[in-house]
Amino acid sequence: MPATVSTAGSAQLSDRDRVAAEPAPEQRDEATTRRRQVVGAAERRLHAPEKPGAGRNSDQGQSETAAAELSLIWRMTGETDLVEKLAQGSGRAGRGEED
Amino acid sequence: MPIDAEGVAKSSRVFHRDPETVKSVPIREQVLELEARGEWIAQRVPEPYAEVANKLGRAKKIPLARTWHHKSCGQCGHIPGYSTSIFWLHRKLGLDYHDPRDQTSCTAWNYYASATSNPTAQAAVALRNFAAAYESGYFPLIHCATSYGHYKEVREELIGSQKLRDQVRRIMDMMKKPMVMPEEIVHYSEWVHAVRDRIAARKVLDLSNVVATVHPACHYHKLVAEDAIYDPDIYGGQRTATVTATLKALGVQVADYSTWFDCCGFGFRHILVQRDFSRSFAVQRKIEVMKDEANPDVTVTHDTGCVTTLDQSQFAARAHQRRVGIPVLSEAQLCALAMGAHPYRVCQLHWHNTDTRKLLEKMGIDHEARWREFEADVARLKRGEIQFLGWEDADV
Repeated sequence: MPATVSTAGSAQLSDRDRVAAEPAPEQRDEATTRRRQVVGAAERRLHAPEKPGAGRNSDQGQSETAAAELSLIWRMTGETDLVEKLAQGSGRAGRGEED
Repeated sequence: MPIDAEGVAKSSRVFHRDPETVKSVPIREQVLELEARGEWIAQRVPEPYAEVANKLGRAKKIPLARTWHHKSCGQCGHIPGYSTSIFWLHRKLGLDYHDPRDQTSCTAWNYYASATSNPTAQAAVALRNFAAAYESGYFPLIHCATSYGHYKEVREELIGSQKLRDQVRRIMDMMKKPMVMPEEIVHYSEWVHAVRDRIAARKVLDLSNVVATVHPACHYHKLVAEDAIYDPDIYGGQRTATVTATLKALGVQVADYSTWFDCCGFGFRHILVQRDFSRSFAVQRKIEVMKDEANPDVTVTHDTGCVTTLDQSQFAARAHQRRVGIPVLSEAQLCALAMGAHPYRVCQLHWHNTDTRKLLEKMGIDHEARWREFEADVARLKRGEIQFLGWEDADV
């Protein structure tokens, strides 16, 4: 698949996808403020509760913003099968052997 | 017949590095040049930082505090005590850090497994995470050597290709994020290297009778190789100093073996698509060679894939009566143990496959008592008295 980001590629995003993938400006401001609030006050947890996909050292794993932005990157670069796997919560998008 | 590795390393030749004679333009200067042209923001390494020499003798800045921790999929998923040890060291040394949720995978394992091979996506992921770090006011410190090596290759591509930068810019615009490239791309083991004397000053265990071999991670010293840390006092500057210099600062006896340059078996791609090959390589080219030539108490490395491959591959080999049984730790875990960290609450050695108890005994750690404490924690969790272990349980 050609590695291009074209206007046409962007246009393939539906309005709904755009809204889901792109946080509103006020949400982004809020997220930035929240990040700055936690700066200097490192998280208390050593081990987060078991939760698929959760990082064990962060409070609750990857943020929704990060996941949405990864999905947006893949949509805009034609990696649509990965978007589907991300949506399904699959951690194994590779084509290798599984054991 | 084993190679006389010690004899080879003790060459009388002295290699003087002179960065002035290097013809290539330093990467940092290229990053700053692109900033000057308005292409991106070059996030500066914050004060305080240490300067260390890279392979070409050029200075590399290593931030000591205000670090944004780019975590590792494999560490969080398979060896969580690795990253917890990195955080524990920061807390014990009183160095400010940020453990963010606003981070994606670097997606490099996907790239190596042929699941995604799109350079625009790869570069956009890197800049997305760098932008997230920049917005937080903290500087990226990358836990995984795969991410570290991959991001450095992405940086080379971005520096060299206006087209790629333009493609990524359109994606970043869509996310309303700035184009940011850090002044340096820094691996956590470089941070450990930079603070190794502080760690040694705080150690509470005598490690002088511990013998260790070192596996330098390929993603660390073979990708964009000139960026890795070298020191003339470590193997005459012929191998990366990262990890080895730290072990020497801790007073550990570092033993050599002839296949030190070989991959751990992970192979970037092989562990994902040809795992039996990885297992065989790890055992026959690394673990058994170490056993025959150095017989160490532990082998120490600095990457997610290397720890898991060298450790987990010994499980199957035991069933085939191979000469295995060398515990595998990251240097972050060994440093934390040396400073008194709990082997199970903090370093989480119960996630490792190869038995570490003999090593702990040799280090002077009462692993039976520590295990009873950890079991008591688990009982409290089971009874619902606590929902998780906190830093107060880890004595920080």
